Amino acid sequence: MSGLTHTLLIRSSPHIHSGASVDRIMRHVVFALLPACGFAVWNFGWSALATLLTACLACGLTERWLVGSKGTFRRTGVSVLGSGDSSAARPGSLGQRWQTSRDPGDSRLGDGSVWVTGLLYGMTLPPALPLWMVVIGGVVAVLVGKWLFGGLGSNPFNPALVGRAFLQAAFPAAMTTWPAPSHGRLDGLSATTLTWPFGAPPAGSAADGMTAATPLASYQFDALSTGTWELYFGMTGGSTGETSAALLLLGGIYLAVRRMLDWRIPVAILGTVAVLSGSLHAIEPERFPDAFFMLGAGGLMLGAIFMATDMVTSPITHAGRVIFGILIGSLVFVIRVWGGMPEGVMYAILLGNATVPLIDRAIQPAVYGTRDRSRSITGFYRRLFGGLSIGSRRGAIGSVGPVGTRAVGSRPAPGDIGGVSEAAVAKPVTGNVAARKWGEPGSRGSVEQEAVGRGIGRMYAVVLGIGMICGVGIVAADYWTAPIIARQRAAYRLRAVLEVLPGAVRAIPFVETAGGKFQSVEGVEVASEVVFAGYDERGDLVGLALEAEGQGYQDRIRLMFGYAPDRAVILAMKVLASRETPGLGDRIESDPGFLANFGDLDVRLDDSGVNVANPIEWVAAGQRVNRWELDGITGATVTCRAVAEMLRDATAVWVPKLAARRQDFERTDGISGRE
Amino acid sequence: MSMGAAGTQTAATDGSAVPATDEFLKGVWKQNPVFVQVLGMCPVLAVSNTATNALAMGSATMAVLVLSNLAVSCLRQVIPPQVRIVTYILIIATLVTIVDHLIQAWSVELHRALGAFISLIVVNCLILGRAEALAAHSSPLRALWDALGMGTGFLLALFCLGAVRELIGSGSLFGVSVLGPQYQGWVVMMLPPGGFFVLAGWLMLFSWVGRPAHAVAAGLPDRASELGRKA
Repeated sequence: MSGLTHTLLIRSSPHIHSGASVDRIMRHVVFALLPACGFAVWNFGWSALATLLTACLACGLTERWLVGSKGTFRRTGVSVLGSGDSSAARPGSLGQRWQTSRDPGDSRLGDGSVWVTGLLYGMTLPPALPLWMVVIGGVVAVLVGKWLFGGLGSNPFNPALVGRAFLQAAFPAAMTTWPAPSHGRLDGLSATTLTWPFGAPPAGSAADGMTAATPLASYQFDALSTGTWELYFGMTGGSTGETSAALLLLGGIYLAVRRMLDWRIPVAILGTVAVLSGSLHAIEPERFPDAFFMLGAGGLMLGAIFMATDMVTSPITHAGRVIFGILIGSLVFVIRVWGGMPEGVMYAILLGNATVPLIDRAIQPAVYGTRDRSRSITGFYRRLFGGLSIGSRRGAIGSVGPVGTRAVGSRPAPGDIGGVSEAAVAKPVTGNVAARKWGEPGSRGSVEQEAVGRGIGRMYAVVLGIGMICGVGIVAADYWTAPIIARQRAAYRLRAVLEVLPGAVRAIPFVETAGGKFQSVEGVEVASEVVFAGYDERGDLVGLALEAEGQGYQDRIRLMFGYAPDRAVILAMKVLASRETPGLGDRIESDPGFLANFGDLDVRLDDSGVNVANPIEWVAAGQRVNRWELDGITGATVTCRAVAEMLRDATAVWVPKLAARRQDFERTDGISGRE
Repeated sequence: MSMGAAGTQTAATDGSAVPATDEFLKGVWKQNPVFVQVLGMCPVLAVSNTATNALAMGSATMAVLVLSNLAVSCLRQVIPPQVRIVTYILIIATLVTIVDHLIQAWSVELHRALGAFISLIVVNCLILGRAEALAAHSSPLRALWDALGMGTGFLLALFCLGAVRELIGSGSLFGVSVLGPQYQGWVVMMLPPGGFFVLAGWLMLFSWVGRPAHAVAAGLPDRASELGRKA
């Protein structure tokens, strides 16, 4: 047997190994991230440490659960996810990918990649995020972001960002609550960190002055810039690990020097952002932030250096990586400057990840020994669109030819009725007698022509007949339901009116006449020019209900508000129609703090009597001092501001008019109210 | 099963004598339009964010489906095959318009919540699919049973999605708080992505429960892991 000790190993390429293993690279990435993490703990306190540790543990334990202790993908995982016996064997399918990833030694807890995922994921989260949310996002990151696609090497999206994107969509309010840096950081954990699992974070924490807007948010919403020093050293609000641009840059340089990171991607991203913002800032300095601010603010450094360079989810070729970087950089700039959100690095990288297979397909190096056509436009398109073969003469004819020929050849001229070929009619698709007759072989010549003529006539007759019956049906339904619908709408409106005029039991619609007087009307249809006057049981005027409309975050918002002319205040507000983001903007309908604004919202007129003395103004949550200020909701700045502006515009038009003609509404005798 | 007698009611113009119960249960379970056929995804993902919306949408679709199947089946001898699709769409659109008016007359709030998706029932491929695949060459009775089954299956599936999404998304069912006031809703479940997540979960469950018997007997998990070991 001694002759068999020297076996010849036959392996596929690559044969030359650089010596870099997944373990080793991941270890160095962790080293590079540690300074920024340390700074985060110093800046945000124990909450940041708890967030980072929980994120790592959640990701690690999920991986351990999926992978099992022996290093093989757990059985239950395969059977639940695979769901069919064929998927494991079909070449090129996801099943095959699982098979390769299940190879022992290929995906072990010990390869360290999950710790990098966990650490990066933790660094993108707000420092005081409730820990149970951190756990959920971590499970999603590893389970959905990594293993559903087949584990390390097969995931199209950066797992850490998948976890964060899920949390951003699931808990938008908690994900945009940023604790102020250095605020009682080492006294203990922040109140929100230790929220009971599945419980809402304590509501008071947002209002007690502990929060700080991120530099990008304060730029977008308040046009405030942040000092370069604070920005680059990270003394700002923001995600746990993203604030210190300088330390992240340092870590990036360390990895680039050790050749564990391709410098092309971060340089392309940062360069694109710098060029775009620099040139636009030079043209219009007040509209566009300068390049230094754009580079240092938000998660750009963290994303460009550590997330976009993820080896699995970035292109293989150098040229591809530069294209990838430019794409992400432009997306970041577009989202930040023209988007509704202040920050867009996460979505930019995820979108960039989605294009990686396309980029890799388009930028393929020529196979050694073949003609290099990758640099020509033709080759580029061919790679990009594959089988469509644009520009390739042979391919174009080859792909279109047979299909076209068959289509032309198979159309028999005589049996063709209304574009349906004889062959199609001949199939007994329906039980129609006429169709069978046409399709019968042998029925050709004049008999057939006659049959065709009759068939077409009948065809029109049937469609017209059925169409007319349908029309009559619709008209009848409309005739019958129209009065009911009108009643329902009026009742809906009345409910809204009584809701914004607390204490009122009936309401009467008024319209403005040509002379500027207000007159009560009966049975008025829905129109925004109508003012509803609400009266209590004794017949005294409670207030006037008006409608206002304006542009919200997503779409137009329509609301109704009650105005009390005697006290010159807004009594209440009800949203009639809005499509604001659930969980953020739509809290204007339910947030008790926001609704508490109303009741004594001041709309007094000034001495001249033609203007509102203090137009309604929006202020940040918890900042309300004066009675004409509207306290906002954290995370719903745009919507709250829209409501304030709508109320301001509506009151500017209506309040002077209504206050002047108050006596029109006072008399209720002789008018029957609409209950 | 006491329903066996009902099975003989099937009229057999098309020659096949399928019991009515089978016709009905086929749509509910074996060929469930959402979980098995994966049809009509647009309303399934968009309006299943609360249990109430899901039930309303499911009922509206079921009503249209039953009426359109009946109408198509009754008119199947009349409609020329060349224009059958046009005619079906005409019938379906009329029914949808009427249902839309009825919902509006019933509740303004519900009509607001369902939005454009009531009108979009017209293009739900489930309805046109049943008209083309079954009602066009079956007796009205069979078409009725089929529509009832498919409609119920669609309603059930929508409710399964809507209930889970509302429970996780806002901690309530039919607008009544179930998980208490302290529960933090997962907003993503109320948004379209949540529809995909929950649908994926149900599809996974269905394909797991409904695995063919031979796959269970063969012990699929074991075979799969064997393949893994060999690789």
